[in-house]
Amino acid sequence: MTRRVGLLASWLVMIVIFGWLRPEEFLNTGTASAVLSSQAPLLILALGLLPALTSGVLDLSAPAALGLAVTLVGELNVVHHWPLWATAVAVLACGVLVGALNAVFIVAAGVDPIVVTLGTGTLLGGVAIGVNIVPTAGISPWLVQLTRYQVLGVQLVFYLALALAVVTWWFAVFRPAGRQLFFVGAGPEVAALTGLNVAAYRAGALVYGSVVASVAGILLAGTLGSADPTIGPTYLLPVFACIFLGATTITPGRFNAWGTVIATYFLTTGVTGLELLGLSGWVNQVFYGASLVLAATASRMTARARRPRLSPRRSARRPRPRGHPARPERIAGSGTVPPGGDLGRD
Amino acid sequence: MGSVLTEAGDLGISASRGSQHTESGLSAHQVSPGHGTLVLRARSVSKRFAGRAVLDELDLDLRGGEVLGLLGHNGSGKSTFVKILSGFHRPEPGAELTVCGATLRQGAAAGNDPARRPMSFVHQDLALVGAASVAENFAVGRYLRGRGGAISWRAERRRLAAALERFGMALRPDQPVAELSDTDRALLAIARAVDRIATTPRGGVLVLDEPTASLPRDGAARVFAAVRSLTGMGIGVLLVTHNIAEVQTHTDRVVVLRDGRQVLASGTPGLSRRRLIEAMVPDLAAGGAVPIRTTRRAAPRPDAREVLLEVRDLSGARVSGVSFQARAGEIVGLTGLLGSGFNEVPYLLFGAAPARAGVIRLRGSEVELARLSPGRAIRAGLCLVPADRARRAAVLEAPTADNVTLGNLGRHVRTGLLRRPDLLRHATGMLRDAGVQPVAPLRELSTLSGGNQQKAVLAKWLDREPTVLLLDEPVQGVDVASRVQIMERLAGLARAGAAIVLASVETEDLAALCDTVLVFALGRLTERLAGVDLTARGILDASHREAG
Repeated sequence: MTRRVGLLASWLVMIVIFGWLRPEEFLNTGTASAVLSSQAPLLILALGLLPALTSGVLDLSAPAALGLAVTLVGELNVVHHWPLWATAVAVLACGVLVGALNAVFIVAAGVDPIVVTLGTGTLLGGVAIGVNIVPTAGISPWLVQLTRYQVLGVQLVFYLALALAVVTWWFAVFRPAGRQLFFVGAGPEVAALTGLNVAAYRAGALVYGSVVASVAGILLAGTLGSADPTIGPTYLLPVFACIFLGATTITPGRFNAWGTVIATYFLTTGVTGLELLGLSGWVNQVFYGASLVLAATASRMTARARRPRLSPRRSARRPRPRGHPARPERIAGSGTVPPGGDLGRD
Repeated sequence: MGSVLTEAGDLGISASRGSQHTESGLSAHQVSPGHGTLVLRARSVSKRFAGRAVLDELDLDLRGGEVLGLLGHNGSGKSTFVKILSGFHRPEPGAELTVCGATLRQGAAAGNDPARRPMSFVHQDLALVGAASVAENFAVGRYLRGRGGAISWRAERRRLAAALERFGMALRPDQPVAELSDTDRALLAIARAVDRIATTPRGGVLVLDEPTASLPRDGAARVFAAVRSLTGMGIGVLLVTHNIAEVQTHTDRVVVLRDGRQVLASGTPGLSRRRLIEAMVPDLAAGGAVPIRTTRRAAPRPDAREVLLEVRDLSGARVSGVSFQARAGEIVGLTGLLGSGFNEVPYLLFGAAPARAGVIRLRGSEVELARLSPGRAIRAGLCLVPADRARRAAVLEAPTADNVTLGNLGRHVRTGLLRRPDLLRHATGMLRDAGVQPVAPLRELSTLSGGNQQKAVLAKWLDREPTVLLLDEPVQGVDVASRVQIMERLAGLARAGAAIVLASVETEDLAALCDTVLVFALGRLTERLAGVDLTARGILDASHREAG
């Protein structure tokens, strides 16, 4: 139980410490509102990546997909005067395309997802800069007002992010596909031999992740009121720090929606607090970087600690934290099925 | 696992001595140094796991220049002995092991310095890296150093050339090992192992653990010709195998193990196959009773029943031209020696491995082979229980309930929502019916014993009420009580009208459970056993008849 709520408790402790050190600046509704609102697109991006990670595919290109979406909103809506709905349709279509592109290489061709998405991510970053190298201001006021619309002092994007968290949790727990997705990641061969279409699950998760990243991009353009083509890559580290740290809490050892929510605001609170202490500039990267490494370590330790005593024969194997984004192994046969017996082909 | 450790250990330590190596490979002073002398002496070697003796007071002598066969069926204790030799397992106190006159220090810290342990291993997996070249694989860990401590690849190549020539192999040093034939790979692994022991003047021990299991007949012959040539160097070869023909043809003496005990030790010449089989398999009439047979006998004659599965000329990567049929209520066993390909058949039928050719009919209607996938197979009424539980049959770190209901989640959905209480109730019922202990659906599957895990895996599939159930080694690593339970469940399923195809090397289980047993050799179905011929000995006899 301690492990399940440990991060939540640390978050509260952190709030108390910063509140004690900087009561005026830290403990006011303005700061709270800013923290909750400003990081909502990050949270949406992270939640969108959960299905892909659960299915065993690490998608590093999603932050770049977000960046491209932001840029396209600026380019189409502002420069080319497209109506907002047409812009949104085009941006989402672009998200589908990016996900499909990743799926072709990762699922169909069987290339390591880290390599593929690192490549496509860089490619998309370049495309974004190619589309428009300078930031564009003057995004559709309708979008700006919508995303900044305040409910109880917090912007609407925050509530959208919460809604997505509910949907993500519901899908993982109450939909058969969500349960099966976990098996696709944790035991691809088991899933394939149970008749699940491993390739389809992974491809679907990749496309979903890119589309959600595009939605996050549209919302980000709205909250910022402008489109900066270089913004995508700055989300790369924070988003994975949130996801991996999230996997240490609520259901430790598994990627999960509420853990991701808590981790996102834990990290944002930390950065905001440190900045209020006067440690600005470098502290962002140091804090996120350190958190990512520590989160991954803690995640591994929790998985190991939860594992019961192993039988002598199994102890020789390296324990793997469950649901970790292993590279999708080639599900070719070893032992009983001869090489080439590729279960993943369907 | 053990193999990799040993191999790496062997190589790692010897690297420090690399510069002292002679570069001629096997030079003159190494010929016949230990001929006829005792190179391996084992006394009272025992090993217990959880109180059960898997190896019981084994005594064994190996002389330089001889090939000694260590023959035994699955679970006879031969692999355990190899793992003790390699330092992976520690024997029970009181064991004595000497190699070339020096006492073998025990445990992982024993050290693998060839001077102290002039012993080398070739395991079935060969421990070669496919992406690396012949020269890299040959040299790994024992690099010859040139000026400044850099690896002298020129010296390595000379040494490799000498070693390859000795075995009559023409391989390019730059060739990736993945491109080699299975036979060449086995020979390369042996050449490398010999290279590691040839440097000691007192002879040495080469342990070959099932090196030819996956080789074609002519490949095996080449390997044994190479092995024979080693004995001239004073090396003693311990050939660990379950292949009787290999022992008969290629060894000087043989030690047969059964249930961890030495049951026969004899010179090989003149030893009949019958004698060896009798040593390997206990006489069932004399007491090794299996209770299943009686329950099976009560089943009606299946001949009149509907043919549920018909297979014609099925070919995959390792088997070809397989034809058989299974009727309702029939249990068909598939067996053969390791590498004979029989255990590929269930995966071919399930669409989990691609079939090259053939016709499969389920209840008379043909299954389209090209489009066969596990999903389609399941919808057609087939189920497969794969052998590798940890990788292919279940996710051990997930709760038992999630594992057993994975194949049938749809039935617990009401109005778009997965009803967890409903699912748990159903899982509890399944576990109870399967005799899984404890009935704890929320516990991780990994916390259950191997036998209970396997019962849970079987329950997952029986829940789908398969028309045809395919199984690959369903009782591997399963305790005796669970084994009986599993076999009785299979017998019950057959009585209820399903057809079962069971691939296994456990001859006694097959004899007890099956109506028909199909024996494979070298990728082909060579014999059908039924009725009075269907005994454990009969199966073993048939397995070895064709394989030689």
